[in-house]
Amino acid sequence: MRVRTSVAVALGAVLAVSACSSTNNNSGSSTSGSPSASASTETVSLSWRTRPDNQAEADVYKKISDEITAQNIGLKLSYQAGNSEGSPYQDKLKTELAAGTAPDVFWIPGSDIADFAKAGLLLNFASQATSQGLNPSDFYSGPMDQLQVDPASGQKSDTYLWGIPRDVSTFALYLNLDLIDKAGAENPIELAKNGQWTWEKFSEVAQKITKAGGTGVKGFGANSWWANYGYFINAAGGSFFKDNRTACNLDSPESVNGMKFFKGLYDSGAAVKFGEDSEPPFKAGKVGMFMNGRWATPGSREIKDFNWDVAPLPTGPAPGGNWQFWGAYVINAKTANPDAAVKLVKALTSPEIQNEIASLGANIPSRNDQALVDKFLTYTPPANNQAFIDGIQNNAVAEGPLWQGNWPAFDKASNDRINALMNGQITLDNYAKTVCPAVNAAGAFK
Amino acid sequence: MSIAAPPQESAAPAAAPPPDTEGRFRSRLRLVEVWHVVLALASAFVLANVAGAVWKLDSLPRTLLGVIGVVGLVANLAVLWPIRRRRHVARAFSFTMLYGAVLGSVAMLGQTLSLYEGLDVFAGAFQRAIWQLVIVFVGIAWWVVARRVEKKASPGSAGAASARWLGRLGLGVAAVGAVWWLIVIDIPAGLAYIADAYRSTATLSTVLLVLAVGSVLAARVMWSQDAARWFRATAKQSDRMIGWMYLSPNLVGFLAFFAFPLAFSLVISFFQWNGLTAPTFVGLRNYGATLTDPLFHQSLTNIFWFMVLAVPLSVVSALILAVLINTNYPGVKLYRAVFFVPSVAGVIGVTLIWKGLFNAQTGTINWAIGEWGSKVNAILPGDPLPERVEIGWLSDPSVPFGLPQVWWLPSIALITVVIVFAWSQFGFNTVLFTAGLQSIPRELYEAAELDGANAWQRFRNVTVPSLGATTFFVTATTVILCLQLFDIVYALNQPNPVGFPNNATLTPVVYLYQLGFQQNAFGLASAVAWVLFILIFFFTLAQFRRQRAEVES
Repeated sequence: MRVRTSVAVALGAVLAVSACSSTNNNSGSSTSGSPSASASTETVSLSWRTRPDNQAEADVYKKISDEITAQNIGLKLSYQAGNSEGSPYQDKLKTELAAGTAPDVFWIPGSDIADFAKAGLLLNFASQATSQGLNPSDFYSGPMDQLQVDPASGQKSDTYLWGIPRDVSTFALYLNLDLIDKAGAENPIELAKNGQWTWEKFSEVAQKITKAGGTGVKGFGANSWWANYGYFINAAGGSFFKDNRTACNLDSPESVNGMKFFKGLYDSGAAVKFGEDSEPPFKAGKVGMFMNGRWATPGSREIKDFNWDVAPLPTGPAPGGNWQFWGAYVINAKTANPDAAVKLVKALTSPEIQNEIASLGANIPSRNDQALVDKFLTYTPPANNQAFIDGIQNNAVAEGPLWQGNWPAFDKASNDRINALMNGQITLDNYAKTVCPAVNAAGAFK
Repeated sequence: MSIAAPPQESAAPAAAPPPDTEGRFRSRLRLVEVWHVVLALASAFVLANVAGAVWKLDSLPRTLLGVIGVVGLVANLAVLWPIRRRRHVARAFSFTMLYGAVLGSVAMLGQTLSLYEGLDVFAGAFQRAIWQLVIVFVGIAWWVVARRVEKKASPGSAGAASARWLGRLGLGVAAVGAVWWLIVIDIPAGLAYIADAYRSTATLSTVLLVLAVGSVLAARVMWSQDAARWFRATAKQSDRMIGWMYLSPNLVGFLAFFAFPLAFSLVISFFQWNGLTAPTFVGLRNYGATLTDPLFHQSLTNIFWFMVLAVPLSVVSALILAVLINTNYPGVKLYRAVFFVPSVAGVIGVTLIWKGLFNAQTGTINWAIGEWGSKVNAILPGDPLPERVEIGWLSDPSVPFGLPQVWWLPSIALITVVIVFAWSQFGFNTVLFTAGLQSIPRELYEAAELDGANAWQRFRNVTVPSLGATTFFVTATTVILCLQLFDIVYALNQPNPVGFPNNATLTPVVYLYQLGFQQNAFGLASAVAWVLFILIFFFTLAQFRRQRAEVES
């Protein structure tokens, strides 16, 4: 019995130790080589987490964590791999925040910044950033306008800094060049270069691909979450919000016109059925133009059966209108080492690391730096990476939280109404009359 | 705290021990009393540090610590009185407190040393070293087999000696595998990590370690035979302690991960709470908001239709299949295993496969319908069937078969969820029905045959009534699973919002999830959970009573 007890205790101890060894391996193989040497009195241990887009990114983040630790800048990092895209990353993070066990530094989507900051979960590190030479103006202004906000007033203020964008992204049209050729349609990339890539041309190309493509082929495909229809609203001159993001603008004539054009695409039969995941049919060669973000590039690189590239989104009645997606590294308000955490954020958003992540294909550097842009353009395929840069730089609308409202409530209520419109359950007139009352009733701007 | 050698006493209180033994125990008991005072002081220290958080609920961990502090302080002082009075209840009471102190200290030590982070990524270590683990298990299996051979062989024979030698070789293989495993998972790094974490939290970790070890030693004293004699415990009382001890791992898990969250959700359902900041008491307002929310009504309508369709589909099909495979033909066991596979396959993985099959554009199901239409059209004049369909199995909120678009009829998207659920559920139900069928006496069928009953009559009048209890169990569990539906909807809806399209697949648990984790309305979500609990409870109770009456009749 004693032997069995001893064996059980020994196994338990080994499990605990091995669990920690796996943690340590996550945070850095360099530390495992000289554990005592790295634990100097000046070294601060920090945990951090981000949401990689794929396994390749997860591996690179782990490597980056090791490299920062090995730089001997006083940081000993423990990297916690977050769930990948589509997994409940935020659910787990919120649970850990409630339990007080969240990492020191973590990534969250841009739309969550306000909720987290208003709940007192994030550190305002404006002063530490200044003292450590982390300059907010080095990054695209779209995200920074939402990260330097006084929660009380909802207005931009340089005395606040809630995070630094990890990267940015934007929509482009992923093109099946073979289907376009087969349809005899004009190439959207060339049309864009000539300034002729308008909604009318876009609709025409989509129709031609659908007609010429044969069984099951559609000219256009998109998914059904907010940014997809949101682009058409923006590009028509409308917007989600008005009055400095304190009221609903989905019922403005411009916004409704955007939805009218979007619905028309589907009603004409030129688009993949609304609500269906358009990525599998695009990869199967059944969709001519698939609207998606830079994050779809690694998956598209697996396509071997047809030629593909990307084009910018077409120009609607108003210039630009594409989204600038972003998420930010933020600092846990309860971190015991705020200065070290700022140092980590600075390291994680350095030009070198942004470039390394961008080279994997899923993201675009968030630094407004021409050298980084030039390098990004070389990360092919797709050949026409400029389409993404154009999307960001041409009057893009930054994805943003509602500092004076409730984004999840807005998203849910507006998405329900738009679903009803797209599925023919309500008319466009009915949509225009009911969408903002529904959003307001859901408490989006309380 | 081994329970290997429980004290066994007679039914009567134990006889008085020899004076020297009693004296030694009395000294140890004094130390246990002192230890309870130490635990009470530790509890008071915890309480003093988090006192403000106990009632404000502004931080769940601090509130929990506060509650633990109050309980620890009061209970550790209260236990001294029955110990002094030599009441037999003191032994169980003290042991329980010490057991709790060990668990609490170890749990907090794990947190302090960041062991849980390690456990969180333990799967990675297993992946790296899976082959080394296989070698360990092969070595152990080898040793076990050799031991059995050795026992069967004549003692002292050459066979026994060879088996013993082989057994040692097996142990050697296991040892080599274990060492290799430890190297691959980088055990030095793990030790360094723990040492580093210990150094950075030296005071707290040491206190927790002392509390854990001290509580183990004190618990051993209260568990001993001397304690049983001292407190005049009967055999029944000792047996009861052993029973509770065996039950404790499950009980602790139940209390920590089920009972406490359940009670906590009831409390929080009376608050407005975003899960992150201090909650505000709102009384019954969350319940009122839930019961009047059209989305909640829609979720109930959806789940009603889901049950109406999914329960018969997964129960009746399982019964038919069970009857078909309840034979002794060669290979039928393989079929039973195959039909059971969906029940053990991961729900998310299975659902993602179904999602691909149901894709309107490239899915196999629409393609198969089109192909079938082509074949029929080739035979029938006038091409009556479509040869290309784009049914939006996952995206169409409309009612099938051209029925009127009214909110209380099920949508195509909901029917898709029904199909996936029934497919993943009917294999398990088939196994249950098969077990039920095999317990029906053959004599009943023979008697029915003698009476001239045909196959249908035997099924109707022998099989169905005899399976009453099984049918009740299968139906009840399927209904409860229906009411708890979440994972299939969640996976099928990606990358769309959960409940897509337009809330056509919104179930009460999906609604609860949206409120809690997407809109941060945890108070409201808790109220929904309790309304759902009450619905499930009464529904199951009514079903239980009705079906029990049927079974008994």
